[in-house]
Amino acid sequence: MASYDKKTLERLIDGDLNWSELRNIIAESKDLDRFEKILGILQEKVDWNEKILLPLHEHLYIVLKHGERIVKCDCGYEFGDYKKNWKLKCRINVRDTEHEINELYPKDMGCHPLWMEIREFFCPNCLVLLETESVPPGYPVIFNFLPDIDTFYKKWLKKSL
Amino acid sequence: MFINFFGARDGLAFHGSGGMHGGYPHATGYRLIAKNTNMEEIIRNQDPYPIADADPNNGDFEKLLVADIIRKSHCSIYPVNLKNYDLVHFALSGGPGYGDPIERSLAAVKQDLDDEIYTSEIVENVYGVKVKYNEAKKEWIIDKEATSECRRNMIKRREEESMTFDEFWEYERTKIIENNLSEHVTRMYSESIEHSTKWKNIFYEFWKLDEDFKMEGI
Repeated sequence: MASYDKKTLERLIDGDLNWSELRNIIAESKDLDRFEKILGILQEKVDWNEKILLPLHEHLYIVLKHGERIVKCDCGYEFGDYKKNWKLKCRINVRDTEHEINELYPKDMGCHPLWMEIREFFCPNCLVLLETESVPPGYPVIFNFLPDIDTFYKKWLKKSL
Repeated sequence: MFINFFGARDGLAFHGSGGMHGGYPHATGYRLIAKNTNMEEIIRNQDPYPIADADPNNGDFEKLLVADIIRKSHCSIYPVNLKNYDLVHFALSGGPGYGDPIERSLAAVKQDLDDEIYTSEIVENVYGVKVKYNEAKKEWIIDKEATSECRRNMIKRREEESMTFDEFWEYERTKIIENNLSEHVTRMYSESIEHSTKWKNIFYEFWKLDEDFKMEGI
């Protein structure tokens, strides 16, 4: 069974591995302690103390705070209950004109605003761009992912929370 | 000779629901047709001719050819009658972006420029990277100081131009209740509502629409 040192996994998270290193990690069987090691590295990276239960998204984590599971940004902003859509706490920009869309794409290579719009979801504290949606105008905000944390820990990791 | 073009991928819409983790959706495509060209003369003179359309705003086809050039941005187009020396070009895009573009490494952005994947204008607008082209060395030079300032300004602009969720909700809901959606989008919602009670409930609940609300014009 493969096993990787902390430094290698840190470089994996930061996207610093070259292809030959990365290819081996992808091709090998998954090391059994990878999740714990990754959590340890991520916990060291953030400036707050709440325990990370699950990395949810770039910059976002599900953490345990006073017995509650909440979504928290690495900047410290708390989005609240992980079962609610964190995007509803974001600041949102809608690109729904040709001018706004053509800032990002060359001529004829962006969507037409009558068909689709681009929504940008920013962390209200650090303003990092957390997510984009390309949807028809009027589409409800998409709930990306609701993990079953209890099942993941009990049946996959065989650990208690 | 008749050639039957059809859309192998996006036309006026992205064919995904976004990029990943803050990345933007990949570009859409278009079909370029150059008719009544001077290719016969170009070939005879061994002159350069367009082999790509890296920057449609400043196209090689326009620069290198005398021709009637049409870019069709719809996904599907009707069959086009082509003659000898006419040219066609299909623009295909890559995959969607991953992560906040203004966190992208400068080395990766420089590589994209040197590989002619992006224009300097797109690199500035999307990645917040300011560059100059060194003609002698034939390479792009990144202005790190100007890039830092550009990225700071983009963050400021994000704050100024964005809305709270409540403001967004009112803004988007108005498009629905005031019938400001295009016919095809209205039809899509209307038919989805008709076909699926589950979808109807999601849609009506999210926008807090009355039970008897109907999409107009369909």
